[in-house]
Amino acid sequence: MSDNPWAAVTQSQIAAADAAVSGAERDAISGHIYPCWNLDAGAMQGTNYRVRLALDVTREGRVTRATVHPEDEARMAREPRYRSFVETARRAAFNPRCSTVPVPRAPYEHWRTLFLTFDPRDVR
Amino acid sequence: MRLKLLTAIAAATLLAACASEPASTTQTTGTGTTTQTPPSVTRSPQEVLAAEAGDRVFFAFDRFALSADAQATLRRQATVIGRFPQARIMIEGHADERGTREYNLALGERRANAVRDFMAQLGVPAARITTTSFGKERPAVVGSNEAAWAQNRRAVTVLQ
Amino acid sequence: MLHLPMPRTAASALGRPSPTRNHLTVEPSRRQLLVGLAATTAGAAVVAPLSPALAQLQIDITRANPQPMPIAVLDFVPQGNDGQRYGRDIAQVVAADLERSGLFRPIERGAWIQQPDAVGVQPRYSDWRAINAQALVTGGAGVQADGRLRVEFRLWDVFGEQSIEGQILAAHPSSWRRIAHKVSDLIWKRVTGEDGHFDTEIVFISESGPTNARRKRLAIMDQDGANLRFLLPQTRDIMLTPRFSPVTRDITYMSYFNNRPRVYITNLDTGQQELLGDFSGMSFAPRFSPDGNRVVMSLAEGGATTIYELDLRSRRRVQLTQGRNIDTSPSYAPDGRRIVFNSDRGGAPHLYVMGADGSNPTRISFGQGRYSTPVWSPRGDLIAFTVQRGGQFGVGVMRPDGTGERILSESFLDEGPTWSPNGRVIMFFRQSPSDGRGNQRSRLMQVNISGANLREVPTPEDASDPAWSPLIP
Repeated sequence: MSDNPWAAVTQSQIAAADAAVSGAERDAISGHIYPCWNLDAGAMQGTNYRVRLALDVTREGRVTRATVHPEDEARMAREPRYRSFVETARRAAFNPRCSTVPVPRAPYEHWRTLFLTFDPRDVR
Repeated sequence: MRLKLLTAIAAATLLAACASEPASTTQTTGTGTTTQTPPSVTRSPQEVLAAEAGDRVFFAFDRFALSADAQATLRRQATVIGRFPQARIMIEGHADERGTREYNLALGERRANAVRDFMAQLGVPAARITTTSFGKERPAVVGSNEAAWAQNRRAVTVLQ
Repeated sequence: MLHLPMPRTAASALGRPSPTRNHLTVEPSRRQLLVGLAATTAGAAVVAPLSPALAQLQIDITRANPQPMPIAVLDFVPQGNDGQRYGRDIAQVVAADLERSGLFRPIERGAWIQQPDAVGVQPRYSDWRAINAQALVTGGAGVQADGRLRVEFRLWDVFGEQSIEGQILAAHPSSWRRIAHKVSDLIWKRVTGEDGHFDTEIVFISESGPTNARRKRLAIMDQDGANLRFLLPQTRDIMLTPRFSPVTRDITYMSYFNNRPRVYITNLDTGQQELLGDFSGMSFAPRFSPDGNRVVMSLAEGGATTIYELDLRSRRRVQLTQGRNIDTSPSYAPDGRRIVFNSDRGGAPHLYVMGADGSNPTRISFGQGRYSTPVWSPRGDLIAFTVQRGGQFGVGVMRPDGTGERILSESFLDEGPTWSPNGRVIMFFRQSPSDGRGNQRSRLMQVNISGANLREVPTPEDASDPAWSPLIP
């Protein structure tokens, strides 16, 4: 994967998104995706796994592509258990029941890529 | 005080249990006051022990200390045992079902050993006594209540 | 029809199958074939080359939905003699394994849109997405000219639109259930990244008769309850606490010899049994060391119960704990360096961890109640135990330093946890209180370490003291 959506990210971009998209809109997106994240708590025992996924979405909010952060992708190659964890997150993003997210009101340029961190800290 | 009360309840329920137990049960039970065997029949040492002394003593939950009642029973047992100098003595320790198997095997051994130590003090040669434990594997009384458990926390003296 | 070029199996090279331990071979099929087919729609439809985003909208997903994964396990298609029967039976065993694990929810055949014999080289993913299948299992089965049952299977990622696992297995047809369990293990491993626990056995005590004259026999069955058999002729009436060797086909257990508890060892294949150790007192609570070379156990004598280690090769014994306490139920850490055990040295029974040489015993359980039967997880990260609290018994887990205690089950009597070899599932036994007629049921139960998926493990008679085998090689 040569594309790295994270490569050119700056603090000002984060600030721009923070200003343009409300907390409620973010919650709506996470609240839309997590029900499709089928994760067994037993699998998380003794881990502190998390994964960063960049989701490309259409103007309608449909997920078209998921890119795993390069550091996390490297870890997938090393750890089968972590790879399985990442796959649960990827399945959540592509599950037809959840893969069209509620779109924010801000201009499309602010959210055409969603930078999600799947971190099951409320599950452990 | 509490211990005594338990023992009294135990004795009372034991009688009730005996009355309802099927005749085929081989375990000899009794406190020395109930069994009536016709005098014409020759009784085994075990039957004599059960009839004249009571063949068992009872313990509090997770304890192996001998109560005053238990000590009295064992004194009577020692007297009976003195009349059967050839008999070998096996003390079986038991526990109620409110513990795990392995812990209860250890607890039963402790109870059997407490009886052996006391009998040795009374002059019964320790060499004649062996001890074992059945943990919670061989309850005398079937039941999941304190009355049954009190009966099952026991050490039984078996003359062979 | 599933027609993929597969390499020949190496099964015949492994020699004649024996009736008791059939050889079972597994090898990867050619997954490369499918690389080019991967993902055309939902999985990775590339819209345009990505340019840097104007803004970075960051969102955390911290909750998840602990639902089992919907999966469709299709009948394996016939590929050889008796293919129809084996194909269907194997798929059913696989689906049952996956369902029982609590991690998967097999979708019943009535909901399938595409039928098994129409799946061909690759599934019609949209049909499977439509019924919410996240994964799909297909395969073929049949007895070949050499008399061996050959089974191939594929695991498909429905959203990713690609095959993510595929293997060929071969064995004597009598081992068809083992092949099915191996398929389950391979699916589990690909989906969780961890070893499975399906091709395993449970040794346990089968109980019959009234509570006060219970007959207890040593029995063994497959992890799913199939192939139950009794291990030893019924020569004694009490047998307890069997445990598997982690490396050999030996089982150690406790029974009575001359009316006293003694530790025995028996071999599953030869049936030979042997008294272990020349001890004058009672011996019980045996457990193998992780390398299988030693057995640690309790010895009770003179009112004290202490822990000994017996070297199976030299028969040398070493006393590990001292004193007038009850020290019992020892269990090694998987690295063999530490032992967790049960002791009443502080009053009520609690859990302690010491070095494998008996050094530095340290109490780890501090909760209310009485703790016993600690068992170290094969993964090393948890210790399972029985806790007696408020008139109930439960099975729980805690970390080896005593933190993170979680109770997984509770009833009148839950006792004696044993770990699946991957450390994900705990089995134990549950005894009901005596009913009015003096009957008392005892059953095997299993629960996932998350506390989910508590369920009964059916056995023909009453059962207790389960011990889970390692994965069968």
